[in-house]
Amino acid sequence: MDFRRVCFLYITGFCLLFFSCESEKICEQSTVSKLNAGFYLVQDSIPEAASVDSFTVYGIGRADSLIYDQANSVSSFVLPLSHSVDTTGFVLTLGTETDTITFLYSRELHLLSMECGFATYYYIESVDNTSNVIDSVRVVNEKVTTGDDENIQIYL
Amino acid sequence: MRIFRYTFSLFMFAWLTAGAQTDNLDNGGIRLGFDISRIAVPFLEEGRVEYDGSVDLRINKDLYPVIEIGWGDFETEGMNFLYRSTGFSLRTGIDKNYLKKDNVNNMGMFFAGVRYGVSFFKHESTDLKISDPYWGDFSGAIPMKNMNAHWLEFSTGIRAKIFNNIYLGWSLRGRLLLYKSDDLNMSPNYIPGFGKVNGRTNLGFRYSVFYQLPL
Repeated sequence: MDFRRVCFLYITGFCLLFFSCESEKICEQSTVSKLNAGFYLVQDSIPEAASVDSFTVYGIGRADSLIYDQANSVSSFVLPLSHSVDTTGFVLTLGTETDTITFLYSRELHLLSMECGFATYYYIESVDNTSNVIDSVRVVNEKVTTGDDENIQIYL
Repeated sequence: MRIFRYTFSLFMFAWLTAGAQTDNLDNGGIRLGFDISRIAVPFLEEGRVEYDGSVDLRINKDLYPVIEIGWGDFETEGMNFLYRSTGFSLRTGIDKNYLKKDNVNNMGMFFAGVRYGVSFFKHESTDLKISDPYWGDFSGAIPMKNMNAHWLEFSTGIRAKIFNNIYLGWSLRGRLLLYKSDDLNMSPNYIPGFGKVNGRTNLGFRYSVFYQLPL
């Protein structure tokens, strides 16, 4: 092939390449890590999803700010863990009964993407709870991320 | 559009100079290169600075082993943080010349080749803020961490003598990332010598001036 023809082919190829410019990207995913919890009842030794009425939650130390306020027909809910300390507790009221749940975890900053930024991932190490209405708490997925996977099951 | 005009003028230059090859009498087969397209990088992308040079050597009529050395520094603002990555790269490989030469001493080229690239760099994130309306906003940083990466780099382009020992040429690079260090907190966004990390592949462009050692 003659040198000038080669050049011509290359030039056209390059022009096409540089037209495909990079555009500004926007974040298209959830950036908030949250602990996903569900209510369950054991009936005939088979766990079944349950729902509760008059459900109120606040974080220990934040009684002035309710996360759920007298919510009805709640079968699953989300809790915000602290970004700054390795333990977060919550006060749950189901009807007239009140329990506390405290989570101990390790934290890790995780870059989702340049356009979405950093989120905190949590790894639940242990759960402490009182048992006025709660029977037990089971950790089914110790990794708390921005996803919707259930992390804990609360048995009533 | 500005980028387009800029690159087009480079092609025209390469085109015109390619026709201006003259006979020469030297026998030197070692060439030092400096990538002048890197000069434009900080103007095209704020916060990005790169330097790149090469040494190539003719071992027979068509084969040119090459070593390229580069340095890169990239700072950018992400969603809720500042990111910085900086370090060196080394690429070694070989180019094959497909141009039928009219003069054995003229190292004008239409070439295709391959390189193995490695980069040693550091990256960090600072001014990291996560807003939390319930427990209060969080601010922190990811401290600087040593990283490395390896890739395969395919190159093709042209190179023409403009006068005496001076050559000009451009090359297109296709890169395939083979390995990058693990970092639980963040995957590198920029690898010196490789470029922006967006998947495993990357395209690049180099426009260089070469000096043939008068041996």
